[in-house]
Amino acid sequence: MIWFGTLSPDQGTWNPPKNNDLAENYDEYIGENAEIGGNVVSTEPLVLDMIYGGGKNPKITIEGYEGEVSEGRRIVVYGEVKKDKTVEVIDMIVIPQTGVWYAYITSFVAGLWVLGRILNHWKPNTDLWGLKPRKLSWIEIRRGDSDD
Amino acid sequence: MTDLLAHVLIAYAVFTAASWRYSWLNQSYVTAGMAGAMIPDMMKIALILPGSKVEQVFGIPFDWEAIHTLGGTFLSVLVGVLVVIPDPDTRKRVFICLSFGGASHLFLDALLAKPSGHSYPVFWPVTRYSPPTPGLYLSTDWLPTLIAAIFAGVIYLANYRYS
Repeated sequence: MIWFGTLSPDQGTWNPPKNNDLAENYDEYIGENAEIGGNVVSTEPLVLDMIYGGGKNPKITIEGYEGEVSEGRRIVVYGEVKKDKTVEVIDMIVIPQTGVWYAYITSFVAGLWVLGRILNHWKPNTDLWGLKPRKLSWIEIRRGDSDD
Repeated sequence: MTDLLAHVLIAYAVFTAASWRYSWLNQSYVTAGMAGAMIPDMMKIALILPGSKVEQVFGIPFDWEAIHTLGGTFLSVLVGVLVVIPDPDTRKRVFICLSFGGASHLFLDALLAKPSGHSYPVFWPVTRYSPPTPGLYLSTDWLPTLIAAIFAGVIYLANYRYS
C-alpha cells in the first residue's frame, strides 16, 4: 500500500489523475485528462462535489455535458482539467439514484453470507492456532446428521 | 466493482462446479473461494479510513487501492493462508481457493464501465498499465447480480442432485 501510494498519475499507462490528485495539486494537472467522481450539487452550471477523504470535498464545474442529470446523482467524469476548477467532459457516466445504496446493501449481504459460511464450515483449532475445515458443517451437526 | 454479491455468487457457482471434478474441494473450500472473491474489495476500507488521512497522520505515502491489484491481492491471500492451521494440505488448498477467488474478482472488475475507457492497473506491480475495458456493466447495476444469482441457483440445484 505504501509503494502504491508513491505512484503518481501516468497518462502513458492509462493512470489518469483522480479525485485525490486534483484535490491536493489541482494546478499541476491543468491541460491533462483526469477521471473524477462524486455527487452533483447543482445542474446549471453542472457542479460536482468531488469526493476527497483527506479534507473538504472540492467543488468542480463540469462543462460540455449535453445530457440530463439531476442533483444528487453520482457521476464519474473523464475530461480535460482546465483553470478555475473546471473540467471539460470527454465522457461521463451517470449512476442511477438507487445505485449507490443498492451497492452498499448487496455488499453487506455478501459479507454476511461469507461470514456465515466461514462459521458454518470452519472451526478454530486452539492446538494448531488456526481455522480447520469441519467434516460436518455446524448446520449439519445441529440437524443431527451422522459422520458416516 | 461488479457488486460484491455478484462476485460471491459467481465464486460459489464456479467453486461448487469445480468440486465435482476435485474431490478435496468440499464446501469448506468453496467458502474459501468465496472469501477470496471478497479480498480485492477490502480496499473499500478507504470509505471509512481514507488513504489520504493515513498519509496525513503517519507522514507516509499510502493508497488502499493497492489491495485491488494482482500484487496486493496476492499478499492478502498469503495473510489469509496464515489464518488456517499449519497443515500443508489445508494451507495449499486454501491458497489455491483464495487465489482463484481473488483473481475472478480482479478479472470481472476489469470489465466495468469507466469513462476513460480503461480499467485499472490490475497487473500491478508487474505493470502499471490499465487495460482497455469493454465496459460491460457498472457496480451499481442489478442485472449482473441477477444473472450471477441464476447461475448460482442452477449450480446449487445441480450439486444437490449430483450428491
